[in-house]
Amino acid sequence: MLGSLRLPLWVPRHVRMTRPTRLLLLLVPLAIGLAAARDPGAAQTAPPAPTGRFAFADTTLLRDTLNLTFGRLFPLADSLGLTPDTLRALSIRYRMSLDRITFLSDSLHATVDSVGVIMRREQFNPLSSKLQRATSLQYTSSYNIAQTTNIWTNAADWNLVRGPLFLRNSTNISLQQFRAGGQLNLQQNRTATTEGGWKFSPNASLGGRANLERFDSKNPGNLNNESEIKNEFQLSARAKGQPSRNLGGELSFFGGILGLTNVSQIKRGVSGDLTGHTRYQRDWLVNDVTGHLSGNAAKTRVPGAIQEFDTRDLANSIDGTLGMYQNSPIGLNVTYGIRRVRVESPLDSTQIQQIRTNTDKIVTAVRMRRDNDRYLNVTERLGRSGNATASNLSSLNTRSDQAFDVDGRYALLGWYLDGSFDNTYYNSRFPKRVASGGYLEKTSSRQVQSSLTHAFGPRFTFTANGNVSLSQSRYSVIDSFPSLPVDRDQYRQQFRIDGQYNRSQRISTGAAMEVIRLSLISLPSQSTGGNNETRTYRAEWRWTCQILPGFTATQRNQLSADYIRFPNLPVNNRLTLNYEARTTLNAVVTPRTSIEITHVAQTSPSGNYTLLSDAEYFSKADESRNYTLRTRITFQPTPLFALNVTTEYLANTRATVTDQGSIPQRDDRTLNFSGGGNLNIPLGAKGRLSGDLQRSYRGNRGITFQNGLAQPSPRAESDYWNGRLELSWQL
Amino acid sequence: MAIVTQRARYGETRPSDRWWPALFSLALVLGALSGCGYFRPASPEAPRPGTSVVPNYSQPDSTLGTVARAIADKGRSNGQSAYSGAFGDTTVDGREFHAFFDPQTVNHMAQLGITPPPDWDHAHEDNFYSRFVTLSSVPAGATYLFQWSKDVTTEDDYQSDTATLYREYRAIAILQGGETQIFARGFAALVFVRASSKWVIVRWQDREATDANRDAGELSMGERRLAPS
Repeated sequence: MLGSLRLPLWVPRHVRMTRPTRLLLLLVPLAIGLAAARDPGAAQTAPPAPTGRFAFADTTLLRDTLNLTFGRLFPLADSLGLTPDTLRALSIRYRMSLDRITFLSDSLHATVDSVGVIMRREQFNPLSSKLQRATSLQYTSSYNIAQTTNIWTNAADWNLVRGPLFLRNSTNISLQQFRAGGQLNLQQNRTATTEGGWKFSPNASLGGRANLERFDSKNPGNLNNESEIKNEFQLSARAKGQPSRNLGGELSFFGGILGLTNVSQIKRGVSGDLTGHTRYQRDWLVNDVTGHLSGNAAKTRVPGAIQEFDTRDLANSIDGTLGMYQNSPIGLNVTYGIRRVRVESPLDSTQIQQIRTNTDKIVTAVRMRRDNDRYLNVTERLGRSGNATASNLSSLNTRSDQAFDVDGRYALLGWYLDGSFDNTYYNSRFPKRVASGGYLEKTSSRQVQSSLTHAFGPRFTFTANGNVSLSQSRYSVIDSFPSLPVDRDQYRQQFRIDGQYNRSQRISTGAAMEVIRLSLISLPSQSTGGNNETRTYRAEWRWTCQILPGFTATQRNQLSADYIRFPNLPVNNRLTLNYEARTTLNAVVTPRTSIEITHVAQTSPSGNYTLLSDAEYFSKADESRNYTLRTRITFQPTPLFALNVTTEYLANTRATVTDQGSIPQRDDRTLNFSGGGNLNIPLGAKGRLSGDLQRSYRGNRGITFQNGLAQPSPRAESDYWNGRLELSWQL
Repeated sequence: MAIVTQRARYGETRPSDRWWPALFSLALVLGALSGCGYFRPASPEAPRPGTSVVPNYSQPDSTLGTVARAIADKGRSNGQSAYSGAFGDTTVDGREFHAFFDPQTVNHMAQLGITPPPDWDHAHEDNFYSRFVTLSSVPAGATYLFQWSKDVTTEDDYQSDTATLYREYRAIAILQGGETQIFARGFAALVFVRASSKWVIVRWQDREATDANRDAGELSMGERRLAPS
């Protein structure tokens, strides 16, 4: 239909094209741009994003042993307001695909980073399940070995449902050995939570729960072997209801006896835990509120002591989220929380130590959104936290913060303008750092940043960005304090332009320039000697060329110069230059075999420089040269496992430069070798063995020079297994 | 009518509607960058003879040396900024610092009702410095000494852009009578990256010293970071 329309002449040329055609034109250069930006040895690339904003994004991310891929990671993270690495980490931690985690986020009406927590919490809620009969067991055993540590974890979750009766258990055992300070240390964590009961209606249940926790830290012969035993046996009651179509809620209560024994205290008493959650939802309004109250009353004593104290621990909190007009062009989101914690424990055999912490926050955000490329968010945040030190409650340390943020994006005629402004104030009070008083710290920080991106036709993408920030800290004395920190400022500005030219699918190139200025300023006269300013200039040129089908070369060349200037101690002025060339050859020899060779050459002279009236003079004092040659061969005969061999040779030299010439200072040679494989093997219909395991060897030998004479050190070698194997089984 | 339909189809708006947000944003940015002084740092006082920390991050070991000198400075001169500069900051170095705690430390804190933050980053470390150099358990007039020594168990790993160093650390207070008090002791696996000419710490994996005298205040840096002070 669109094609049959004849557009009037006033419509600009760029909108006279049909929308699918416009998108195709954008996709072509972006696909090439992404291909150029990726590491040639990568296994997977996400589909190209539909805008130029992700043209330089590296999407070569894959967790093959977990069957997780991260296609559309960057645009998805962008739309969720998360950083890509956070979203990727959440996906890996909870073993969920990006689609699954975002679907659950919508379904649970929770933010993406809360999905995993809610899923784990709800697995013990019998009211969340409508099953009448179920028997399930999931067992996972994992062995993780590294150079100085090994961890063996075993986890089992089983669930038994017979009509209204249910019994569930979750057990986790972690055994860790690590070597530090020439000693072998052992740490063991064991937890088991078992809950059984009777679900006498779809909305209520009664039962009992046992929480058992053990922690041991042992090292033969040391002073601090630790052991903790914690047992809680509680009655459990849960209820949920929906008094109206828009209002729902849940209430859970656990109460019983508590026993805690560790090196600092023995506690016996009763404990309770009450949690309530309500949700009110209408078309234009969502309000979630969760209240939590827990505590214990116990007789507590120091191990070995006779005298007992009455201690009361109490924690209460309220957290909520209020959302209004979430699907409208203008919406409001308010997040708030109040938390109070009081813990009492014996300081010694004669007195009790009370620790109080509190945290309050409220975040209000107004979102104005036309589409993904035209929006403006205005956020105001207020927070306050405090803790009381030791047994002196008059020394309440507090910290309050107030922040105002604006961020937005506007797309017009193929230009994308991103901008943000942040202004934050912190006030910290430490009234009793010493007996006579303390100090007050006031910090303000402000930052403005902007980014402009445009695709000039199908082959050239241009990005420019800049930011300016200033942070100021001021201190004042409360009563009397002898060593007050000094007032200081930190100023930074940065500008960068980047251009990417994609000649064809085979050849692309790009260049960037960046200028940074960083000033560290202490204000009082006795501390200004160390004030300094760093000016950094960087230039980069990169190219990728597909020489033959399956054979790609990539090179990145970087030049940088850092001028560090001490206005009051010019003798310390320093200039560091750096030249680096990184070349990668990637060959897909057969569909199952690939070889990647990387060579890095880096030269970095540095020394003092002097500012005179006519020019700046650089006195080269030392120079380091680093070379790396790395080869990686991967062979994947089946999707079930892959073999890989990596070798790496490093040659690092450092020389002092004097009037007599270059005098060697140090010369190091290192060989790293590792070989192993990745597994992802199904064991029957219910099991899976996955992970990776490799043997690593490292040999290093260094020569130091004193007065020009070589003093070789003996070769240092290490040889160890590292990797992780996981066996999971489900019934 | 047809024109109206096509305007709507292509999301056309009046020129003033299209341009004002971009112009407004641009004006905001330019206004902020121009000479309004909102981003102008304060002028320092004229220098006076005294000691200052000259930061040196040119090698991983010199970064550790700067950390030690910054702690010894106790924030009296530019110790705070020298300390802060040793740890990766996304806005300055392109890489962020993250501290990880010994499970034993986490267990100690749990007994006090304290939960470690999900990510101990550069902002936390920056805030920690002023607390650490003014500990209420150490006399205010004491001189601080921070020592790094090699953890002989594991070999350091130096690459061209990254390095992993294994170190034992001790923070010692020299009291006015000449006595000494160790107030921090433990082990750290430290990962450095080269950010331009700086080597900054991006990861601190803390371990408590198994023979530390905790009753005398020999706590790990991890515990010092988390503990109320």
